[in-house]
Amino acid sequence: MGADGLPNDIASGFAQILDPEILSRARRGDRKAHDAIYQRYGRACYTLAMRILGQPAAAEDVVQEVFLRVLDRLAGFRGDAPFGAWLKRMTANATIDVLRSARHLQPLEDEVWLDSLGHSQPAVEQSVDAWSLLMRLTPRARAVVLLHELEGYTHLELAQMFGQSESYSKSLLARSLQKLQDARPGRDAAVEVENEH
Amino acid sequence: MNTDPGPRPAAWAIGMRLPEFEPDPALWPRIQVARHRQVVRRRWRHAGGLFALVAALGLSFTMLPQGESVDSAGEEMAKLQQRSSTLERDWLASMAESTSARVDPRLELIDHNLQQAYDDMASPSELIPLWRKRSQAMQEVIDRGSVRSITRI
Repeated sequence: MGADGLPNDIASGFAQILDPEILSRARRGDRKAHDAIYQRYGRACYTLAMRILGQPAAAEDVVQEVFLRVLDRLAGFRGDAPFGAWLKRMTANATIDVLRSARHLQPLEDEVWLDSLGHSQPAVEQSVDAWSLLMRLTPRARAVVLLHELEGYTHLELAQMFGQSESYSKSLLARSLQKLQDARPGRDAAVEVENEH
Repeated sequence: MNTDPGPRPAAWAIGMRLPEFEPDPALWPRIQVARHRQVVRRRWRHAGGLFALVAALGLSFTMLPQGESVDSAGEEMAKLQQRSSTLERDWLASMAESTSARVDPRLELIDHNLQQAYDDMASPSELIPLWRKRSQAMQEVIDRGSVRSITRI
């Protein structure tokens, strides 16, 4: 269950059911079935990558990487887990791979807070506050918050995905949430001040 | 450090739905192109592997006669040794009936050369002519009814 009270996968679109017939045709290399899978899950993949990375080009690279892997591994997909969950895990892993590869560009990666806002603008006006706050986190901190709080991954899973200990994940999450919590009143106050003028 | 997020996630997240993002419509066509390139690349790689396999098979095929010649040399030398052994038994039988067995200098020289060749770890190609010479010389001795010039190796 996500923090917004909705099932996590619905929030990100990964919980959509994939028609077994489409899956079967996709396994046989049917391009229309591939199209259908992308139409169903492409947006969810892009959204997850975008929320963590905050950069459209990087998020598109993740989606491309994920779908190339999916098309490669469809034949081996046994269906032990729902297709969407499998895809979500692949997307999360690919996104974390991007964070790892960009490690040298992020000297503050172990800090949770960035001073500057992210590059992307929110798609929905009501999301501005949450999105703006999240984009002030470092990508790693953002990944931990989103994957744990919204996508339902456990600290153990996050630790494995990041190649770190559970305590790393727990610590980063706690500090990130604290920063977010602390930042909200400040922003609210700023808005109130602006409204007064 | 308190690592329990407690109720804070709900506090910051409730009512603040994060935006959904729509990928560029051109993304899927780009992925399809990348997929096509990937498949083509793999086909070339497989073709390259197949070519390498065929080349390796061709190479081994061309080398096969050499292997056969090695086997043939071994077989030929075994036959010559068998032949020489048979002739030697014939000679020993004829010698038993003789009272004047003498060493044939030609056979003595051949046997010396054979022993030297074995000591030098000679190859079959060097040994075969010597065994062939020994069999021929032995046959001539027997044919002549001579028992003068035999040595045993």
